[in-house]
Amino acid sequence: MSAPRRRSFPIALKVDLIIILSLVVGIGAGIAVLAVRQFTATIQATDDALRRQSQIIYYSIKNLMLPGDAPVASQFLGDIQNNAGLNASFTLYRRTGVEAFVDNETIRRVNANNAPRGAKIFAVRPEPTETPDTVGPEERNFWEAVSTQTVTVFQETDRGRTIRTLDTPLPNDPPCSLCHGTDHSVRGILETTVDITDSLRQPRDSALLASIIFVVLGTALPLLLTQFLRRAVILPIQRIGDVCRTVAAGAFDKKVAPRGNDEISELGRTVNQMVDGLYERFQLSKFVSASTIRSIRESAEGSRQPATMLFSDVRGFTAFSADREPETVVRYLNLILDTQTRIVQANGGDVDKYVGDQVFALFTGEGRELAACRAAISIQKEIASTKEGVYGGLSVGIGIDTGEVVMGRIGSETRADFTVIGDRVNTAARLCGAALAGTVLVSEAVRVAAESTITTRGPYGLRVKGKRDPLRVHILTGITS
Amino acid sequence: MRIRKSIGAFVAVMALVTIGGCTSSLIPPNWGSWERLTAPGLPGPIPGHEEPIRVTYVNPLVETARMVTQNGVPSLEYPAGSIIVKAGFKGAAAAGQAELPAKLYVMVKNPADPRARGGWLWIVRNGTDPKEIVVDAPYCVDCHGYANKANPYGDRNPGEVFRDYVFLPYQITTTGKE
Repeated sequence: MSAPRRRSFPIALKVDLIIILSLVVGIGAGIAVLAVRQFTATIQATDDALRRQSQIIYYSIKNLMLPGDAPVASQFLGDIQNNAGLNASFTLYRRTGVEAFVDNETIRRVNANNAPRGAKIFAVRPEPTETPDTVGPEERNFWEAVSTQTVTVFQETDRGRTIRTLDTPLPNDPPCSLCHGTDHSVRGILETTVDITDSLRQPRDSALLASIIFVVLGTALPLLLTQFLRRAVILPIQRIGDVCRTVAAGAFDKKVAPRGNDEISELGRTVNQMVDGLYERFQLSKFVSASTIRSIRESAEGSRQPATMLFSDVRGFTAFSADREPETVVRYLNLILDTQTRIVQANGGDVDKYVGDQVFALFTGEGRELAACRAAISIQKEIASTKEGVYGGLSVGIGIDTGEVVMGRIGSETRADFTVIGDRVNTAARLCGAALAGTVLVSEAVRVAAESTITTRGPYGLRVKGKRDPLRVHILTGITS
Repeated sequence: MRIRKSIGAFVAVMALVTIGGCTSSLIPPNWGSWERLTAPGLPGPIPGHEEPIRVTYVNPLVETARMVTQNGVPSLEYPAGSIIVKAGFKGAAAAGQAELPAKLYVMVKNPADPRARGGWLWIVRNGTDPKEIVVDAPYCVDCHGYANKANPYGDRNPGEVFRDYVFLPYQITTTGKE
């Protein structure tokens, strides 16, 4: 019982999968990593720039504030906001979330701290007409910067613009705490806001372009390669496969038509040569017995085996050929040999060889004696039942014996036959020689072996050359089973 | 089999790396047994250290800090390996009960470390969280830089002596002299 055939998976599909996987894993992952890195690098560069700008502004404000020049610091921050040409906006908040430099709350606190120690008292500014800008509780990054005293970063999208905000805490350094008191760590938060939409556009566009190229390549390459593979590999291999299937079915009329000089074309030419060789061998096999072919396959050396030998010889052939044209002789001879061969093969026998007008057939395996007897009866009936014109009035005598024989390749290294030799072979030949036209002589061994399935007449004593005692032989008269 | 071995080797390496990473603590666990400079503790919050009670501990190397005069300019130098731990307490524990510090502020003198600012590593540890955060911002060193100038703390450093970023040097705290 053969194993169930596995579902086929076309080569083109496999190659497509490999290409797509390679593209996705290699180029796709590369593009994704590059895009992410470019985005990250852009944002990191923006953050670094904002941090530096924030630090510069912080140091500037602090150094303006320390001598007590708060109005100058306020003016400085305003100028930066409006005139410095920076792409970011800066707003200074007190740690309470209220915009600094707008009202007088800080001035009043400082004056309250300074008055007892005789330090500078600052003049209050005009009260603001509008409520100062105040940070809401939802702006968690601001309050996180106040509580953790670390820079926090926040990004949001507003009406299609990407806004990044850095909240930088301004520490209450010792000189600051002289005026502002020592009960807090953070003086305020410098909030830096920058629109990074344009900065992100370039890496985003690059990523988009790369993605489009990737999709186009990812679609087109497998298609192109599939077509190429179909034309260059798969179709030629399918044609070679068709030729091989035809040869396997026993026909040799198909050939591969190789194009070009690539490996597959070379394979096609080799297959053609192989088909030619097979055809020659096939033709030659008609002239060689099946057992000979088997011995070639199995490299059989000599062995002793049981077999049944059938010899058939045309009676009166010498006289028949004497008064006829050679072509006529050969035609009738071939006809009678062909009939016998077909019948032998139909009964499981193998024609070992033709010797002139004689047929030597071999039967092996279980029931070989009955098979040989059946073939012999069939041959006699076939020849007897036809009109004289079919076989030119020729008839045959048949002899059958059975027993152990020596089977093997007999001959030289350059020319050999697979055949059988032994006393039983000689006996069968002798029985054939003694059989009258239209009769079948079988040995005692054959009768005993096939007793229940054949009918015979006899026994008769037959004296043959090389045997001291007469052989006990029987005339085969029919088959019972 | 080879894959299993490779996975095993990878896990072993990762475990070693993890163990190695876990053991690289900058704050020695016995800091609580060191000399305390402020007993029972500095009261009242100050900028950067808002806990109402703070206790400062120093390791023995801090005691070997010395004044060096170069070109007539005196400066205080702490040897590498000096560690100053400022433990901040909320003062929330009942009287007589031990209280765990709410925060540790640690200075480790290690000029060779690339993370050092002013020659010191500035480390923060929150509560019982074992994670040590090396402050990679000028926040700490900026403020402590005023220790080297006239400032509002302790003796206020009127001579503006370089005190290696320490507001209240061990020598002044223990002897009253530089």
